[in-house]
Amino acid sequence: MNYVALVSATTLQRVQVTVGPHGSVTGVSTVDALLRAMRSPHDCCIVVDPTMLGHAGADALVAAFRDVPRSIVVYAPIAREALEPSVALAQQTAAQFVFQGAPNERSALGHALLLAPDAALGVALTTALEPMLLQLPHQLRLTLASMLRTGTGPATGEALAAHAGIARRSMDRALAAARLESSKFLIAAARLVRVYRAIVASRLPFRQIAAMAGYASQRTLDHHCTTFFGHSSAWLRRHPPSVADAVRNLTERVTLDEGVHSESAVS
Amino acid sequence: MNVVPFLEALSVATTNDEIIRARVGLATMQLYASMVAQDTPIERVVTMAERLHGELEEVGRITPPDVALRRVLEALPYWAPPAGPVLGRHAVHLALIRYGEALFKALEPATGIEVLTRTAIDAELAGDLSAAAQARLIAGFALRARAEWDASWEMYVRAQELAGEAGEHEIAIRARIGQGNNMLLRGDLPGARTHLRAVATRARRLCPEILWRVLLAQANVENLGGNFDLAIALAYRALSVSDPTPEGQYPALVDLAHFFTDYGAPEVAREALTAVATIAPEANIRVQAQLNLLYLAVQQADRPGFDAAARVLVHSRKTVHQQALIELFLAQGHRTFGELAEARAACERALRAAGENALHQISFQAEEERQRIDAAIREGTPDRATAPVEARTTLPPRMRRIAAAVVATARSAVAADAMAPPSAGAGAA
Repeated sequence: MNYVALVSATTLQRVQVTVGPHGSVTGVSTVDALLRAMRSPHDCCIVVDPTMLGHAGADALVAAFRDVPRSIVVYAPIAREALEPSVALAQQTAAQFVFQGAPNERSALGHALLLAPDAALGVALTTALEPMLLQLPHQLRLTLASMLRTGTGPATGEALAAHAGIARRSMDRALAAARLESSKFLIAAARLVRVYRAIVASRLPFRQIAAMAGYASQRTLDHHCTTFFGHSSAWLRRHPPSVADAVRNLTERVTLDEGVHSESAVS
Repeated sequence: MNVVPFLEALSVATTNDEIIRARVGLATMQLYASMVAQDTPIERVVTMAERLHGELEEVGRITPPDVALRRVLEALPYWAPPAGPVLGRHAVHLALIRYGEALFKALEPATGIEVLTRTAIDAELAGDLSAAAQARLIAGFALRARAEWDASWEMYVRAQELAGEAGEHEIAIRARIGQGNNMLLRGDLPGARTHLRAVATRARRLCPEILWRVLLAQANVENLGGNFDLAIALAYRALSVSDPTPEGQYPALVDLAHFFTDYGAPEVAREALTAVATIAPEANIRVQAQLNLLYLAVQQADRPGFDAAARVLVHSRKTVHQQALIELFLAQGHRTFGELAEARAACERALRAAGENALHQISFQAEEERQRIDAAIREGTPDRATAPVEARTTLPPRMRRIAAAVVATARSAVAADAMAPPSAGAGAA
């Protein structure tokens, strides 16, 4: 994986240390260079410090993301000049945010970079599920769409309901009415969106991927891969499915229209 | 919201800076509370946050809580931007956590804990479980430093639960390490050992980047239990798996030096501790290094070293645990140097500090120390039973290797610090 970073020199060093042997990091000094790298045919992950991006730069990045969805990691201080562009990126891209100075900053940055989700997969999946998502209450729809696009979000049904600001039972009813699977299935699907690229397009050990993504073990990761894609993680790395196939598999598993799925499949 | 800690800070403020700080802090928290309750339209919040930000500019000497408070005021207007509230709220919660932490570190623990607790509750209600877990983790640490054991334990338990729900393994594991340290400080060594062993297994599997924290906690347990070799081996492993930057290595270095003191290799300890006490950016780590230098001076009956370390520590900010330990070491030192009246007084202070804060391990040590002092007073001669601890003339090969690595790490940290450009923030933490 190639990481293209518009960040300060010290932050660039931190990104390089975090990525280690699992990718190459290229520093750029202007927004134009960043956009050029983003639009190049080779897949990459964009790392930006929003203070260096500015408002216009954030708008340009949003426009480029619409044309070519790429993984974006925003590594930001909590300051006025960073929050303004960050809000634009949060609303209109699948960016992941790591705030400097948080107690878990180091591991959060590691997870965001090494498990950078496949932006094309996330966008295609939310597009495919849009008719169902549109039937959900506003906040639940936003939370679920963001979860499925970025692969990050609440890890339990209760947490998802709390995030969406509704009761757990109301959420379950809303999901069923929208012909969507249970929250457990949706959370499992989002987690697979998160690890998909690391599985099929990196050399990260599966054990490390499983640990970073919060699976109990590599076996659990394999179990989830088999449930959603029909194959183990090792098989997927050897025979990477196309994004369209992956979206089709995920969509079939998280909607109620294609037969009955066992709840225990992701427990 | 409980504003009493803020009002207390305001009532004891004497300088203009202190008054501004307390007033703006209180106003900011009230503004935040009214925003959470949706009593204030966002436009008014923006205007008022701007005004408070301007008032804070009048402070003459900027401290870390001032910087953190500015960040809170800068984040507040983004609390609920249309169609994207999650990021703004998360940023506000994180800014408040940093403010609470900065207040706690600046010796305003009551105010800091109030900010952290309030943030934890609000974040949880808003569904921002990651921020809620982080706030509770730091509140747990702050409460532990004040020896409020039960409250600290509860904070850690809830932090762990919330972190689990939010998928934040690092926070969950750190909360469990906090519980282990809680047991250790209260003298429950077997419980701490068993607990930390389980945490280490989990950390290895889920979050190897914080394994060093578990190893250090385990090393402390072993050192207190008298297994010095194992303690050094564990701490050395912590040093080798910690963040490779000097800042990441200071805590492991301080503990390793402490263990080498107990092991009988004072020169290794002195070099490492002097380096960290001089250059570590975090005040708490500097105090810990200085505390260990005091201990080393007592063990070595080094009068100039004892006086120098005691002088520095008098003017440092300390946790209650550190304060109790300092008094204990002062008592031991004064007895060693034949100053029995001073030793008795320091021992009484150590007993009081340890008793008031349920620091059982220190209580036992202070009780033993008092018996020794009383015996020395009865006999009418200064007790030299704690004559200088003999330095080992030769170290086993493994310990020699570790000692060389510790000295090399300390020297490279000093060299890196000398080459680094001066930073405004250095030493302010």
